[in-house]
Amino acid sequence: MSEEKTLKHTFRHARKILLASLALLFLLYLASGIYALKPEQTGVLMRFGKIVADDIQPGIHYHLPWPFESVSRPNTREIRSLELTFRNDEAAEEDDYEGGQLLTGDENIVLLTLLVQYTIKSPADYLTGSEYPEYILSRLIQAESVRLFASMYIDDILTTGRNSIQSELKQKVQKSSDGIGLGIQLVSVQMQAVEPPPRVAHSFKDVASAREDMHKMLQKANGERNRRLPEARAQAERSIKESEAQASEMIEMARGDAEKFLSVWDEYRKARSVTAHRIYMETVENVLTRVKKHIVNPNAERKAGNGMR
Amino acid sequence: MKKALAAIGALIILIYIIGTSFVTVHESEVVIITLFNRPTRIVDQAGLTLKWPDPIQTAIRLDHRLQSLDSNLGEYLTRDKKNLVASSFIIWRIADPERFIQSVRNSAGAQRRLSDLVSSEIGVAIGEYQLSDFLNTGKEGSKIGEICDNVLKKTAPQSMNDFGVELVDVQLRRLGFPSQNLRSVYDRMSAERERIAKKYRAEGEEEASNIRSQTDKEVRELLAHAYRESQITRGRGEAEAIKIYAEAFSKDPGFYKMMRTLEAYNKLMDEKTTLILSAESPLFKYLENPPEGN
Repeated sequence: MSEEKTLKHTFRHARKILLASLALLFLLYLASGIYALKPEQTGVLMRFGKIVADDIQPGIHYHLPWPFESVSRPNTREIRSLELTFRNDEAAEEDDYEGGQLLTGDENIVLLTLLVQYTIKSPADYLTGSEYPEYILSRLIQAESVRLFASMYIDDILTTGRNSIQSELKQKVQKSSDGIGLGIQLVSVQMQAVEPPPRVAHSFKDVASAREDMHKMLQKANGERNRRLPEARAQAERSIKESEAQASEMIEMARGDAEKFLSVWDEYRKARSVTAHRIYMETVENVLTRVKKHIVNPNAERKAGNGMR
Repeated sequence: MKKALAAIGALIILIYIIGTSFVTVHESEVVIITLFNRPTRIVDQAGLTLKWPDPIQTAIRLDHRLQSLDSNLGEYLTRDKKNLVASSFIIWRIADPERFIQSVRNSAGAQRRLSDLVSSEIGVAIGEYQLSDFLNTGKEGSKIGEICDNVLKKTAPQSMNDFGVELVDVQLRRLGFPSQNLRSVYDRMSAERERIAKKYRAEGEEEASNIRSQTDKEVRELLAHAYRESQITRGRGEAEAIKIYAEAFSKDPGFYKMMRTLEAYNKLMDEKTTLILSAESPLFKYLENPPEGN
């Protein structure tokens, strides 16, 4: 083999290698468009920066390689939470941005901790609405809380208003978030803690115990009532029954007496004179055997001028 | 060799021209194309756009998304001379990129100017309302929303005209009493709680006493009713008894009177009774005058 031939051969060989590696590089370039979405992600496909698809489901997909297409993959199924506090006692501290009081409609102060859970509703809006969607969301929640509490009584806030505050805040914040297109879906708004400022806490406790006292007094009075009314009913029933007993007693006795009288009278009629005399004598006999008696003879008295014993 | 170098040079220039002639505009951006630093075109549609290569035309990218800005906490006076501490936030976005670039240059500049503008307007607005417009439990409730809307309406045209900024929203994120007023607020809150506690206890007593007197009333009514019922029953019984007696005895009043009188004697006289009898009474008519028999 001549030297020239060898060189030619080597050169051809090198060209082959070069071509092969170029082809390989091109293939690798094409393959860079293969991407996978995790179960919690939704893909948003952009062609030269313009969104062309915003609901690519989890799995393996392909997009044209850079610089033609690119993919953003927000975690749309993840529930994010955000805690907001209004619990600084000294609200006038200038550099305090996160604390702060919350004023109520009746000019009281409450401290509040809110826990907000949200998820991404529209991936396209979420990506293009704001650079810091959560930050804007937190501001919307603060604004709605300030407004809502400024129309409420502190008593309602601390006692019965919890559910309505939560649902109203959720609804209003959702509305304003949709209004500016944040692409966020609120899952829940929870009042984690709502309480009066520590310095007046004892007064609020006293109100609670007063309410307790009131309930106790009512319970006691109702307890008495529940004892006395059945007692009175029993007593009433007893006296009615007693009167019924007396009435039937009287009637039965009258009937007995009448029957007896009539029986005796029946016999009496058959021999009036004898029977009358007999009954009279029996009675007198019965009476006089019992009693102490003095028998005076008026004739003898008149004669003797004094009584005899 | 020269050829190869020329080819490489041409390739580099080509890549440069292609690279700076195609501009990709993201959904979150707005791009200003300038010709020798003079804005000529604004691209607010996302996608691919063409321009002359740098440095003939350059692209300036601006964030078109919503931006948020908190104002510092400031103390304000309401119309009825009450102190309030308030802080607002502003949501804004670039609406007129050309004007924005010319007037405030960048976001930081815009934020400074917007903050000044809105803060002073908020101060003015708060001064136009009374404390009871902010805090109100009545039917209309708080007017904070209305107040913020007014500030937004006032400042939005100005920020658009001056800075090319669209004000999307202005809201209060903090509203409170200044710290020097807190003591009196707490005192008032305590006093009010005491009053409410007293009210609860008084109401409890009142209600309990009402329950007791109601119970008394019902008990007495019940017993009186029972008394009436039983008296009626007794009366009926007695009437019935009288009727039975009368029916029986009226068959022979004489006999009845006799029997009843004798019965009464029997009952009236016992061992302690002393009877003084006349020997002349019919009972003793045979005592001195023996019967003759006939």
